[in-house]
Amino acid sequence: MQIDIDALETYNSLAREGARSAAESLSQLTGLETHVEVTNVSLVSPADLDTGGDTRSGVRVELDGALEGEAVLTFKEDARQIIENVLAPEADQRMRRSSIEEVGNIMTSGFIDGWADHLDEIIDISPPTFLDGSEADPLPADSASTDEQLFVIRSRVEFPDEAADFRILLVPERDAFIEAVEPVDGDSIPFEKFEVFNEMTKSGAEKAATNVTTMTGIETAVEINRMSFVPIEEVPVSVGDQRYIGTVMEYEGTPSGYLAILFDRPSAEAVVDALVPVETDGEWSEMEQSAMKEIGNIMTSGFIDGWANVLETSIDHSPPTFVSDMGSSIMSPIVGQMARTQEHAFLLDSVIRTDDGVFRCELFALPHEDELREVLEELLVERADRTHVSPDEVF
Amino acid sequence: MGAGSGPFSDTGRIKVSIADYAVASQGTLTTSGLGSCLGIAIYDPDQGISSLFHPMLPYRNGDDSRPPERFVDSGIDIVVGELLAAGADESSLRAKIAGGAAVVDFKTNGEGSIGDRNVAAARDVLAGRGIEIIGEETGGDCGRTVRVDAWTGEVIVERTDGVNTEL
Repeated sequence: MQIDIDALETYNSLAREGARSAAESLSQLTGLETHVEVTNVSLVSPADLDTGGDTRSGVRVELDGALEGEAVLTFKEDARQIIENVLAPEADQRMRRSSIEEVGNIMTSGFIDGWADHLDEIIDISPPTFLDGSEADPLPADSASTDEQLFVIRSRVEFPDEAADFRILLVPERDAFIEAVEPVDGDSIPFEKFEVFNEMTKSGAEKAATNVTTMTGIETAVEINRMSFVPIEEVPVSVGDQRYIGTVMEYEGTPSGYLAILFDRPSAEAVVDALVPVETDGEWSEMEQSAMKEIGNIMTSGFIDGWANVLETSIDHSPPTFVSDMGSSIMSPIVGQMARTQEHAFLLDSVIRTDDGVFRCELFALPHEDELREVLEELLVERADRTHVSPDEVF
Repeated sequence: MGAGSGPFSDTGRIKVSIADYAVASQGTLTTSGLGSCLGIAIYDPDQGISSLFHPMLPYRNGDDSRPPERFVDSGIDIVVGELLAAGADESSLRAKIAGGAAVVDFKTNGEGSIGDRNVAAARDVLAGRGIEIIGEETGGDCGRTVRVDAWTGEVIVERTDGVNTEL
């Protein structure tokens, strides 16, 4: 099974057009302004299929015909209330619910229509199943029943006036989707190599998590790991506008690229306090910044070594740069560098957390696309379990 | 792309993504996450029409395969065209620019940071078109959010270090 990267680009733009069409339907029905924030195609293990942990309501539909799978369109509670208040003000619960079902139905059709046009075939959409928000993470029903990595196409659309959003997750049936992105001609990469690379990245993130734990005593683990294919301009918005503290590194070798290790403020304070237990008054002192850089260093080593061992290449990284800013602003110069030569990026995103969720750190790796293609072409799948160095190999 | 090619929006808040722009005569144009990128507001104060453009890189260098909205030079051409199509008068156009920071301090091989080069390109391209820059909040090492009042062309720049500037 081969994957054509150009086909991923096509599917990404179909999803973007679909999200725009769904957003326009919603604007026409409600008069609310909408803005398509981000669309990406990611490869994830079912266990990592994170939807943010919010309570969301909406609809789920099953797809058949030219595109098999499931789509879930969900609103957060505030967005649902905004829509109900516009479409069914003063109405009883049943009417309010049916307004959401109707909106969900129309938007899902808008989202899927572009795919049917592209494939020039019919996609059958089942009647919507209402999701009342009682499930913490309304996911496509079949996604939990497999161990194999899934393709997930996700879009997020905001209501800029209301600071609310909705999300569409499309989980195509795996084999049907792989068939759809099979190359007609030109460059292609076996699907299993993407899976292996994703596993390697997860091992790298696990090693980075272990290194943080060793250094700070904070018991952490990798919670989410995914590989997304995104238009280069959408990398910053994928990271978001929340404030982060952390480090950015440039790595050189095969592949080369950038790695950002970003903590929310309380987590940054926790790891720095573990190394430099001094009082802070909002500003990051030089000593604290250098503690953060040291954490960045050891996490990067863990992460990058996992790749280098499997790929049998040497990957060096630059000294870390301390950053404290909006996530999107931190990513802006990185994607600026990359956008000179590429239109899309593979964004490898891992979340490291403590069990109680108090501590949270995100790793964003952006390898140069052409070099990642090269790496995947060279990758021998049977080397995949060698993410940890054996002393015999080093000495 | 996005708001730039969508229906002409004239109420509420209009969000502008990276490598995107919007033109409006009412409401507030906003863009966030400006690091090395720029927020370029070009407006006609007499007609009450404003634009906000969020480019990533300075020059397209004649490569037509690249999206024009990604670059300062090719994007300004499009934005000015849209302003004129919306009824703005070219001789009345004014500009305000924000962003171009070095949030991450990369090695630059002596060619200046992307942020610096974006600012320099905006100054050159706008001067070349005879559009005066009457407000600027650029450089430094902080991220920024920019809001433009579409009717008046007033700009508010919010920096992540808490400093807000009105242009």
